[in-house]
Amino acid sequence: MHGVKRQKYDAELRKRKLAKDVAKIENYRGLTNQFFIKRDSNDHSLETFKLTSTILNINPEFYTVWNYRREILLGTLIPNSQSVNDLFDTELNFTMAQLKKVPKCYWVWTHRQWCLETNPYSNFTKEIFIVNKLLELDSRNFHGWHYRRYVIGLLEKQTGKSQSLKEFQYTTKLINKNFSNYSALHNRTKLIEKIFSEKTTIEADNEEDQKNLELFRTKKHFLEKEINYFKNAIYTDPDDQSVWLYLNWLLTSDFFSSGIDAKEFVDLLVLQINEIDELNELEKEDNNGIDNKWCLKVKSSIELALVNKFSIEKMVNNEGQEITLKEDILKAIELLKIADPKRINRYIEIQKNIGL
Amino acid sequence: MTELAVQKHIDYVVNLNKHTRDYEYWLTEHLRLNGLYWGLTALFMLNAPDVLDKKDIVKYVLSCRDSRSGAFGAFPKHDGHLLSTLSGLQILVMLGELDTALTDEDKSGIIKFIKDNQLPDGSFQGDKYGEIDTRFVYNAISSLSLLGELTDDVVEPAVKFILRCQNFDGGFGLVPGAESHAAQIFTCLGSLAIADRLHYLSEEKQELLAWWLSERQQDSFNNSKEFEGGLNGRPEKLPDVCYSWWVLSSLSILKRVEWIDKDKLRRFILSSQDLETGGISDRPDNQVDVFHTVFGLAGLSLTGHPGLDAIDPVYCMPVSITSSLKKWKN
Repeated sequence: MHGVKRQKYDAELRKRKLAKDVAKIENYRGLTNQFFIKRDSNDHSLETFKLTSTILNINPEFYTVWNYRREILLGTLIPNSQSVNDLFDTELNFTMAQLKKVPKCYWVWTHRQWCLETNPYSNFTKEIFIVNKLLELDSRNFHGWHYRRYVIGLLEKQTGKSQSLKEFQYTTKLINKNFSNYSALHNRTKLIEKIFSEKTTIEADNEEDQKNLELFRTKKHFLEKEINYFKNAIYTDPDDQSVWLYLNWLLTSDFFSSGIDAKEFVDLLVLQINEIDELNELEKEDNNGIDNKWCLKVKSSIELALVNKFSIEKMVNNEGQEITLKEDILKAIELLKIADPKRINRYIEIQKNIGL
Repeated sequence: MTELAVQKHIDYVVNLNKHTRDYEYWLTEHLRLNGLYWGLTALFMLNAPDVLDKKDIVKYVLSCRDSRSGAFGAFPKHDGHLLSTLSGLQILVMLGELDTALTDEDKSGIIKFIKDNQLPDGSFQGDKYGEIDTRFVYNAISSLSLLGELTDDVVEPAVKFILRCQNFDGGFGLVPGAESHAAQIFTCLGSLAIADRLHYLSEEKQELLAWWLSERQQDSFNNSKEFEGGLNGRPEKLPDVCYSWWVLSSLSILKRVEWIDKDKLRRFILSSQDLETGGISDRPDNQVDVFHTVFGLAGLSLTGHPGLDAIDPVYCMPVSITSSLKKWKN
């Protein structure tokens, strides 16, 4: 049970609850017994179909009943239907009614996927509209996101047209609303990789697409624009790990470093290290000289990339002084050992690995 | 710090099956075999493996065999599924009854069910109805391993599929493209560990993932110390006792349990106990259940809490049992 407050029953309350449960149990067990009799005799009647609705309305987690419901649909209802599309519309409405009660129930989402795949007249565009609504209610529901990518995949297969630019724009829209939406940031990483790989075949439908496509001109161009876009986020909330983890990917992953001239990439990393230092200085002024943990974490991660991937040993800092990267990392690590003691052993391991 | 209420938790688990007058008992039939596995594993950790009647348990497990699919369902007459199949096998292994309770023919039926559910891309569906999820890869790999039936032709494509599920933050999701989630990370790392393929993840990727996992440990929340030290499953989410297992088992597989503050985690888990009724809840003062009880105890066990039998981070069974399993070598 997730997020349900502890309830304490005294003897009297407990007695009353159990008394109430008697009828409910009798009803429910009656229904399930009836269900198994019908199933075991391979009964595909409309009446048994209705019985599955009754049970699932009470308990949408009952996977065996979902399974048999599909058997009835395939065995009788679809072959005898006047309008298969109407039949599936009703079915989609039924799953939606369940999702409103249990938005994290795997079995219900699975049934909805099955409907989309089985109905030859499925309307994927309408389905995306529905997913938009669901993600408005909970923009971190990973079932909803999973289902979204799944529907997009079906739509792309049907139309032969990439939806990546529109999906990229969708993540921008959600990030503009709340930049710490990690689900949107995650999806953005997937779309970026996808758009770069399919860039030559991708077509812009409208001005917005065209503007987005323009971003992907080169990896370097994209990276600079993207860092700029997220700068506001880290200045607004420098403790937000979602954006920092995303920035760390932009600046340390092979995906970008492999597509940009090494010298230009190193310059870009040095610039970012100095910008993070600047932000950290501002944070220190506001917080009685205490460093910002995430500034230190991501800065040292970028510095490590410079050392390990590019064999860079020194760089010039904001004050125009030449600093040794390994020493600078160790300085940050020493501060983190104090500022972030829960993870002290990680810092000790980094220290050992640097081994000056 | 609150003490671990060992006897209360034993009583709690033993009494779980006596709630047949509660409506909730009947509404959770579809999880019963899993629930039995959770309860039994909890009892093993609490050093009380014999308090439930072994014969009754074996009888119940066998009554969940679905003769049509050959696999275990969660409750008598329920459809066979990979989720409940692994639970059934784990229970039999823990009781030392795998070879006595199942005939060779039974085992072949189970093996066939598992292998038939592997798809061409290496993934597994939970049953013939087509839901795909890295959870089911773990169910399949672990089940075949317990049966001594892991083979290269199953392992190699499954591992390839898992690697496709890795994300920018080093974590894994439920299918390729899906967001990292601590529970899915356990299923992927656990599968790789059983298949002896952890080295397919570069040292750099392992470190990145371990970093992300260590960041699951939370500070105080809204200035309340109540949640301090607890682990969440994804960024910006509330901590929950079950992630003590998913995150810590994953860190343990990556040999980096020390990357979080074990003492603070212990405090969080112990403060989520119900000291009156026994059992552990997702967060302090919430309703307890057997799922959070076993994963709370398993988390405590991985922190080395005294008085608990050691748990195997890969198989989620007591080390005393898994140490005698024949391990697969690549």
